[in-house]
Amino acid sequence: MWSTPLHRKISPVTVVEVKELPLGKASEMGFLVTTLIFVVVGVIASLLTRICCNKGPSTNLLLLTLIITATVCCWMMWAIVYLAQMNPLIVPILNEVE
Amino acid sequence: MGEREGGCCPSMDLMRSEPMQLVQLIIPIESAHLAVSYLGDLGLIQFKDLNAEKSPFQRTYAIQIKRSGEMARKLRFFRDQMSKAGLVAQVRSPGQAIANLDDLEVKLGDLEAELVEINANGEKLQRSYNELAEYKLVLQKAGEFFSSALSSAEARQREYSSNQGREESLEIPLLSEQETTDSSKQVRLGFITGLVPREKSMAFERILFRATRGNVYLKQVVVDEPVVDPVSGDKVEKNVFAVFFSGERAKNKILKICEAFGANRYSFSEDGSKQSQLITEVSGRLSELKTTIDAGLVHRGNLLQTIGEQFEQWNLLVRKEKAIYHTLNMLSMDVTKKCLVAEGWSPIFATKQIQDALHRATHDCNSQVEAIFQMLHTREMPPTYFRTNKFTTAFQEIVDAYGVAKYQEANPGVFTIVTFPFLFAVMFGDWGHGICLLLATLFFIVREKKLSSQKLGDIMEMAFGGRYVIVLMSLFSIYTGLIYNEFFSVPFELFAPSAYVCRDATCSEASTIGLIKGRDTYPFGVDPAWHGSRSELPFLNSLKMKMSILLGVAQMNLGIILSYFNALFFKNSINTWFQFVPQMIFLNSLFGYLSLLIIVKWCTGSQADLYHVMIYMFLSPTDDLGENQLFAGQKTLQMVLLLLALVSVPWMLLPKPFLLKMQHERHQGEAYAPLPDTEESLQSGANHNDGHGHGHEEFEFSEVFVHQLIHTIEFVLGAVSNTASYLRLWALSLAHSELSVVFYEKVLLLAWGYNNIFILIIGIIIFICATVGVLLVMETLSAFLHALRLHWVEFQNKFYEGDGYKFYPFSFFVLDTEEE
Repeated sequence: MWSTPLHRKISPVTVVEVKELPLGKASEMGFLVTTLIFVVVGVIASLLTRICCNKGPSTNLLLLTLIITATVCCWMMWAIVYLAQMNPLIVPILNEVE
Repeated sequence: MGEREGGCCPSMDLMRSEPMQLVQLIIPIESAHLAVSYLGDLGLIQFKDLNAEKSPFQRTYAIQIKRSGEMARKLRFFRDQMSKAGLVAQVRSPGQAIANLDDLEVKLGDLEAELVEINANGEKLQRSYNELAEYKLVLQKAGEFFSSALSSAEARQREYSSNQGREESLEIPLLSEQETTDSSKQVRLGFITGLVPREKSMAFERILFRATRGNVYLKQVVVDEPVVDPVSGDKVEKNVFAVFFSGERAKNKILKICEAFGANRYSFSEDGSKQSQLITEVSGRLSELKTTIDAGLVHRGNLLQTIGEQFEQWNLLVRKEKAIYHTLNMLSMDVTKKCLVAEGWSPIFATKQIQDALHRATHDCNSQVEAIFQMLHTREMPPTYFRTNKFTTAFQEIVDAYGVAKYQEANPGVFTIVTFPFLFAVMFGDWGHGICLLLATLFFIVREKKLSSQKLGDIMEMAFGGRYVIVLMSLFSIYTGLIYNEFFSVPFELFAPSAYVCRDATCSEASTIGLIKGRDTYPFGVDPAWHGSRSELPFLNSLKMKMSILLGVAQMNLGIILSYFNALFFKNSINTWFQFVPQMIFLNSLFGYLSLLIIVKWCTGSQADLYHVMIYMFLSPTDDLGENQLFAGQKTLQMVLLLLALVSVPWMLLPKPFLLKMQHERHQGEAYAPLPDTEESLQSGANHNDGHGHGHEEFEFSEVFVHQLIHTIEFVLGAVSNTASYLRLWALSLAHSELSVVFYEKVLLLAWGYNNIFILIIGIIIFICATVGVLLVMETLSAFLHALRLHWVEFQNKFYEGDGYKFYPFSFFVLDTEEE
């Protein structure tokens, strides 16, 4: 990790105090909460289709499959990006200002 | 063959093609026409050709087909005439309908004869009108020319005579002699007048000169306005000419040359009074002809108008009739010649509707005998029929373009509806571009009714047909654009402040060792702080590459799971245990494990080198992992997985062919032993004329084994190459974001920097053109194609056979929509 103790000593006026452990926990919480939101959205969407266009069991199953697939795809995309930024190995290095 | 519930699962729309049945209809001959017509309205039965060996002329209804073909020809003639006259056939006016085809035939014949006659007369009149018009021109131009020549000659004569008067004393005898000889020659000078096309006039002059060795005098006058040529009817630029010659031979030559050059000749008299008389006469006849022609045109217009009112109706009727007789020709005649026997495929749900249609036909014909409807049993593969709506059709066509599903096999179309636009969007992630695409397609969808009735260009037609695909594509693009945090390549802090902060107040190290993560992870999508930073590309590349692999492994697993559903549906336990299970194990012990490593690495923030782990898992699985260890017991797990992967290859390859052989032998022992010959002959006799009924194919062990070998090799190699193939997701999305950055920074921002309104406007125009042309059109196409490939190859080769054939019902609706 880049954030060695040395750097922390030099920068006493950081905007937010850098704490390793709570940050990790907060990220995990964020992951779980957003995942829950995805689940809720998926459930609401499938309930809505069930209420709005109830066209027999086989069509309902198709709609349910579509919604589940779409939700899983969207969730995967989000989860991958979120996980990748949770414990960054590299950090943004700004360009020199001309 | 017909049972719906093959395996475990409840039925799902679109997952399996409709269960079909082979039906036999025995229709009494008197109600056959009506019955087929009702079935065409219904459009749920695909007739088999029972007279395949007969040529079109030997069939029962060859004459009727010829008749309707003739009527169709007449209708085409009417259509041509109408389009020439600039009339458009009206859309189905509810006038009195001609239901009887014989009446229609007579009527069409009459109308055609009338129209042909009107046309012929009109043409004749037009031709003579054009000739007269040309004649008039010749009279005018040549008249002017002659009169001016005459006046100048007179002037010269006068001058000459006055000269003569002055110098009488000197030269009388000589000149008078000369003059007399001259005048005697001039008497024999002939002339021809006419019109020659202007582009040929030079050549005409030259040829005339050469042919007569210069013994002609040609005078040409340019006609200012183009003249309608009587022969071709086209407007041509022409010259009026007059040729003077002497002698009969020269005349003949000139006549021939005139003919060769398409120069129309008109007689002309030198006499001035005669000329003016002719001109008035010609003008009179011209105006007379004009009124006649106009009257003819009005009459013709009226006739075409009345045809146009009913044209669509007739056209539809004739095409229906032709289709009905065409279908009737596919039925075989009963031995008693009283019934027609039809065979065809129909979905099972349509049984009731078909019976109703037959019943109605019998009733409406007052026929004594009911048509008979019965099911036939066959081993033939039924056609594949998916009941799609306007939303799912385009997706199903994407799948069908690769191959039509085998009867009742799992349809990749179900998942394609979501995964296709999704994978597209992974490559096209930019919510600004997504919104543009969405607006463009919403235009199609809002004007759907209007656009679907009119003809569009090729590309527009394609975009219109796939409008629902594009809507989903753009919606997912907006989503992935939000994830990538790109709006025309510009990031926004929409969901939270960036997680990265300066290390100190002066921010002095921001451009050397970088910012530091000081807040919670950015909750939705890529942190905006990455944009424009020096470490943006390394970060995005690593992220997108890993994402491609994760998405790819997930989709390939879905494909293999679908093969399990297929095995379950067709009750094929061999495929479950010796194909699905080892495939699942092989893929997941290698690439499933890789995905696991990726996720663990992200969660723990470990710096292990995943390439190294994967490579040394094969090269030296017993070595210690050292600093590349991600979790405890990783070495043991790797050895187990490697062993499983190695075991699953022969597991895929060997048992299945042997089991198939055993199964075949057992089957043969049961079914064939007692009476091999007679049963076979009976069966082929009972199973109508097709060879497909013969169910017990030859079992060639070597062939099956080789097939399985190829299948196994393909899967094992494919697992690697397909995973690598998903990296195109990374490549394309990288290309897209880099291109949009270039257009934004190098065009828009550059133009902005000049602080000049004109440069800014030009910059904006270039930016819009580049965005639309390159990013919205070309990039859409390329991302579409790559998503297509990922579905056709990487996803579908895990389970999809795609060797079925499509259900083409006999339907008037299809007839109605297709324009020859």
